[in-house]
Amino acid sequence: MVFVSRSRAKSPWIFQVNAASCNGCLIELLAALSPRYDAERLGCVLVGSPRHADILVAMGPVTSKTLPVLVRAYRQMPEPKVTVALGTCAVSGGVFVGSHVFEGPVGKVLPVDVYIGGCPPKPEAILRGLMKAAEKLEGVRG
Amino acid sequence: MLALELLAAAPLIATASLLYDGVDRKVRARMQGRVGPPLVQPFYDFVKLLSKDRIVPRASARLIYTTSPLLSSALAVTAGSLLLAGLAGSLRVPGDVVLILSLLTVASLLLMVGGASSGNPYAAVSLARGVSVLFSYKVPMMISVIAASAGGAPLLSVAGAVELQRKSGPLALSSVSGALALASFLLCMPSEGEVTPFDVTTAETEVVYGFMIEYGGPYLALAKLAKSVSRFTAALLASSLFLYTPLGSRPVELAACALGAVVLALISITALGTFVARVRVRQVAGFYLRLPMVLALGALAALLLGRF
Amino acid sequence: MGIGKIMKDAATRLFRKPSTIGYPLKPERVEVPDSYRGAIDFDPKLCVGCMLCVRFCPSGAITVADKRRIAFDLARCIYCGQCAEVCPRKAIKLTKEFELIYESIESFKQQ
Ligand code: SF4
Ligand code: SF4
Ligand code: SF4
Repeated sequence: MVFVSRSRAKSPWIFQVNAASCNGCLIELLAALSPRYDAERLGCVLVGSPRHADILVAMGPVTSKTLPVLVRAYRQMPEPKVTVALGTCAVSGGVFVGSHVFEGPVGKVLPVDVYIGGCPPKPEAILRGLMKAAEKLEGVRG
Repeated sequence: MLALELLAAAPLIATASLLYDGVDRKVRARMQGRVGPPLVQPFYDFVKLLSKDRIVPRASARLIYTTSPLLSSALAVTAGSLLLAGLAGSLRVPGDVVLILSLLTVASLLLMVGGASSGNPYAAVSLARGVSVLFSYKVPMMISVIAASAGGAPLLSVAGAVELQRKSGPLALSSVSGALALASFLLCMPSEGEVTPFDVTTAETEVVYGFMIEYGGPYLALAKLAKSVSRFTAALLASSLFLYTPLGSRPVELAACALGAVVLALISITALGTFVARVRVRQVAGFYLRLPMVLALGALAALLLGRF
Repeated sequence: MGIGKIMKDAATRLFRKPSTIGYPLKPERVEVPDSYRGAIDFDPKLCVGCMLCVRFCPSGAITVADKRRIAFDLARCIYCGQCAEVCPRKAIKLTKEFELIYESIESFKQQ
């Protein structure tokens, strides 16, 4: 079954959820898919339906409005799946800790496998983080 | 005997289709100035999807939802295998060209219906769009194929068309009718493969992958397989009906035919999809009723005029 | 851009070297602009414990232990550079280190 786990590592499709991010992280994520960084080299494709995805990329501090959407998207993804928290907001809440609508960070509501710090992280860092997430996918059974 | 051959042809056509998908993605990426995924990427995708969890939405019509990707891919692979058998000369029944095209049509329809049975409103919209697209491009496609294969000994068959071209050279280069029919067919190919500019059924920015939206895991793997096999079968059909070149020995001719299919697909699917943006639903129907329809009818008229 | 120009552009690109960088698949240095603010480099020997940085940090990424020992939590940091700006002893620098990828949130803590 080496080929199966290898295929998982080679074809990590990503679904992004913007849980109240400022869009800085989102723009850098899209930059990572652009010709200069080309995440498709790693087999990454940005998909529009959580049913197709292997990696959930969550951005933003998670507010009371976005919490149900984030959790629902995660639950709609078929196993095996991993979660990536992208940006300071998703990692810890950053400047939003203590806000009355703050429900996060992502690690509090979902099991997070890879944290990518930065505000926003450079596209190179995002690529490296996605590679790490893909390695995790290779490891899990399901 | 034929059943055995079809069984052997099935993995062949599936592998070739996935491989062409890899070429398509690589060439697309290079045209956009990127490195792109490795050539075997579609195989990785396929195996990964097969190994994933199966999820059936609670609102779906379970039986239709779960069986239609399997049926659809089986039909598409059957169509491709029939084409291979016809090319190899072991299938000589009149009308198999029409059978191949009909199998592809049913395969697309099944997939759309299966997706729409998931209960997702996007999938329902996609079904409505898909049916209107299907009927607008299938008519010129069918006419052009009929015009191409009406001269062979077993009428309207791949083997007949191949025999004819072995005698008088590639149809598209030797007759007006053939050239017009090929032009019409090439314009229909992007719709058969559901790629830009005619992918209004599965447009991710409009209907979020349409009927594929709820499919995941093995279902998605089979749905994608059905699509890529349809895509490559259409290209191979065009290459064998219009551009079969007599080169002396059969294996060389078959290899040339496969190469021709890749070139045709690169032109009408890969390159076209890179150059132009998606059109709107209403434009698709309008487009197919004009240019490809006129070309196909012209091909038919030229054929009839040439004969009588 | 007209369709003709797009076609020409795509056709020439097909045979040119892609503009994709080698990183992270190949060992290649990443160009980081000089004004980039990355991971924090803190020199405790220079620090006098004035706690100006703690007061100015907008996200509460700097914590104080007893004896006014300060520590940085890069999970909270938004790399604004305020702390480096206000520090009277220049004990804080923002480096060009941009790869902050960890599997646990504890790994972000410095010192
Ligand atoms: S980490 Fe920074 S760039 Fe990313 S969403 Fe939060 S504030 Fe925006
Ligand atoms: S860079 Fe900004 S957020 Fe980070 S520790 Fe310094 S002041 Fe706080
Ligand atoms: S501002 Fe500089 S000197 Fe003052 S506590 Fe912070 S690091 Fe130390």
